[in-house]
Amino acid sequence: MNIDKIQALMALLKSSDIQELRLEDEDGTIELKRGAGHTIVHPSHAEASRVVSEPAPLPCTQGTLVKAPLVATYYSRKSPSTPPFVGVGDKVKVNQALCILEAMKVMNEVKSPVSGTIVKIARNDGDLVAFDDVLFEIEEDHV
Amino acid sequence: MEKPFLFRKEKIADFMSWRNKKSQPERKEAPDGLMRACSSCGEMMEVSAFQRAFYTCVKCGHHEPIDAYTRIKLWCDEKSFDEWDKSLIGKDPLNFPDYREKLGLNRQKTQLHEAVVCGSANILNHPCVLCVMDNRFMMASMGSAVGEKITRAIERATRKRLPVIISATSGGARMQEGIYSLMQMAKTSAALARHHEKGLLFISFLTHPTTGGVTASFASLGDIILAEPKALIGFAGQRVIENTIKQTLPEGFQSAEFQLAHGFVDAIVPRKEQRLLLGTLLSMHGGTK
Amino acid sequence: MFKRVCIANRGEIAVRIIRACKELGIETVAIYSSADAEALHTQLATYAVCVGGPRSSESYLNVSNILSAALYYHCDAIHPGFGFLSENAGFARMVEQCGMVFIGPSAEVMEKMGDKAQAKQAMREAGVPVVEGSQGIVSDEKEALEIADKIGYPVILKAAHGGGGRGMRIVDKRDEVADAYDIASNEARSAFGNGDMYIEKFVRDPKHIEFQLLADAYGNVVHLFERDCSIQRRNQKLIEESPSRFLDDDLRREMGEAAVRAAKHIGYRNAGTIEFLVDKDRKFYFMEMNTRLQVEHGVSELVTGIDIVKEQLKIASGLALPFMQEEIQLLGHAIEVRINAENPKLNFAPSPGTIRFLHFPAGPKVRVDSAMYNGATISPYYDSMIAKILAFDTSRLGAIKKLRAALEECIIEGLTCNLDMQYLILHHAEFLKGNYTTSFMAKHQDEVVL
Repeated sequence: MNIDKIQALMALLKSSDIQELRLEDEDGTIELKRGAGHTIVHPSHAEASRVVSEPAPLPCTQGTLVKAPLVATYYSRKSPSTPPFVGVGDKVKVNQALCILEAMKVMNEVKSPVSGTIVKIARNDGDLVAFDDVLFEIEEDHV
Repeated sequence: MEKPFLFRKEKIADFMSWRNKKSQPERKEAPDGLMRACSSCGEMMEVSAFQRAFYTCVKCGHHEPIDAYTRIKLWCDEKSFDEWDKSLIGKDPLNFPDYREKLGLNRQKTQLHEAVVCGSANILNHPCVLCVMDNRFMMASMGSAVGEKITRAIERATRKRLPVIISATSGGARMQEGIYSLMQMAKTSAALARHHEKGLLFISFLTHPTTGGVTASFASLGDIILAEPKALIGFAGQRVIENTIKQTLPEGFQSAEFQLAHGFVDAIVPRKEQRLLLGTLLSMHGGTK
Repeated sequence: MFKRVCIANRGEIAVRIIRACKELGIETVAIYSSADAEALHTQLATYAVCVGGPRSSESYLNVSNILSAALYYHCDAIHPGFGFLSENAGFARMVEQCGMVFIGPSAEVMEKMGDKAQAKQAMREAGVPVVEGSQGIVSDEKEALEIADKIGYPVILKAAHGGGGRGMRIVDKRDEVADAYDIASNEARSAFGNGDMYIEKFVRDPKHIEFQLLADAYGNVVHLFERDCSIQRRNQKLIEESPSRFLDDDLRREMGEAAVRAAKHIGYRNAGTIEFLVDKDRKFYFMEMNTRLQVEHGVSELVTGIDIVKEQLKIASGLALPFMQEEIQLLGHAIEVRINAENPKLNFAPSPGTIRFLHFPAGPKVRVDSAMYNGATISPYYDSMIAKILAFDTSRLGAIKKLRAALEECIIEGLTCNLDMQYLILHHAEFLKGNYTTSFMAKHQDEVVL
């Protein structure tokens, strides 16, 4: 089941009044069902690649996840005029400042727990972060 | 169906946003200075609770650094502190580059003229002479003014037969004044010797961090040497020592607890017990009115 | 009226508050711990924010995180529910300092009523009977005797620094005071390191009867009659009903007026409850004031027809009470049983777990307050409340029969709970008579735990 075909079908479903669509062809079987805001795809072929569209990407299980220890507003930089602490692809050392979490007018710096490379930055300036929300994914350096 | 509640909530939210554009609630912000974070464990706490806990973390007990006047307020009986030589300042004998600018900036930042506050006070009704250093001012480095203020305070205490308490914190001698700074080590020590000859009590109180020429002079001359928990107390810096002796230093090297174990500190006193202990020591050593 | 309210609580009371907000067109912000990620209140609120780890201290008591969540969403007010931060004056103050309204009384009143000595003094000033006693520590047995003579027997000598029944002696007669003082004081000294004693009038085998109050910001205070909460085990309420069989109209009026007088005297605002002890001679004494909404508030709602939580929101947003005392009537009889996830046969050990199958009763005037649904869990970190089941009818017997029928319908599988015990209590002769006291469970537990 190739991805272009699936995406085409999704677009088709979205632009129509169809609630459910099931297609069987030589590539396999695919079922599309309209849900509130997202389309859920159930490929019934075991080998079919899973296409799941959802609002937030799944965290990769390989890297180290840096999670918020408190409820705060996320800032990627120390002040509006300074550059962000880090960007995707940057190398960071353990205890290096990654971002600011502002709570109750107190600026808390989040420090990197490991040395490695930033793989993902999960939040934008001004976002609310809740307890345990993933902020960064860092691929740890192998010693 | 997975997550039935979520599904339903989103459906309702879609309907509501289609149906009416609601007016948004007003922006609200926390006021400044309501909460603070512990610089050690990161715990958020209400500033008034933090102050009631004698400026220590309500969770881990970490002693946050406090300025000279706050310490005086915590230790002394209300309104009993009478400051001496408040506006005494030094000179720039070596014409050290940027020294005067730096002094100006530190004065503006801290509203202090120099890195020590001296005067007379009562602690639990016992009079004493009190000097409290403040490391917001050029890391409480000791230059001529600091040395002079402390010496004058000790000399007045000697004349009036009063005990002396010095709360020390310092990055060491003030390099910008060269040998004038180093000389303060001898000057203050000599004044303490004369004070001692009269049989008077000197309590040295060490706070984080106390290093360099201050450790090597008056701070180590107390009849009783007390320290705040986890304060760094040393002479040379760790890295310098490690590079010189080419050995790794033991765990907790130069902490107050380490110094206590090795006989350089008589007791470690948590902030909430300091006033009571100082007052008790003063009373034991005859300092009553 | 508020546009958005943050609910600083969890479980069935958070759901209750969200419901009231929805009725008033108020958006809601729920806060939850990582253990409550699937909890019902998070699913029903407009927004939900995870504020910490499973322990209450990390989450539901985490003032900083809760305020941050509420501020981010620009909440106009915070409803603290009961327990947790609901009687924390420091929290109430901080909420106000952040520009939000704390739905409850002022921090000052909260603090005053939280201090037992100050609360008693305020009650005395308002002419409300209090359990009399020494004004602090009794210096010796001579003083103990003097005070005991003055307040009348029986009296109880209590260790000032203790609890758990030790360093405590009940004295019925004058000539027993001296010995009791010695024994109790020595016991206290060896148990708690301090033999200081104080003395109080002992109310033997009382009924626990509380009055629900509502007060607005304009000095109007009303009561919503009483709740009889005497069926308790170790000071935990099990069944509450309104009205109480034990009060006649005169006593009800007298106690109601006392409660209102007290609330007015201290400048109370919003919902609150004054708890009284009533002895067998129908003398009532102030015990304590709860400056918050209570678990059993639904009983008063059913019996008066007034939505207390909606009134709380309206009062906090500045509206005056829409009714006067004369307009509030007892419309019938209401009873509530608390269904908890505990095992009565194993000394009521909590039994957290996942609900495998759930069927709640329904029908005319049957009310269920719960945060449970099929597949939901009761976690070990919080109270073991599964649901409150209430019934209302025109007569007491009618309400009892209706509640029995509701409990018969109710199915909760996957957890051990006290459903059957509650069902048996509703059949017990002492309960049916209505004059039961706080010693009911101590006396009859073996008959209802089978």
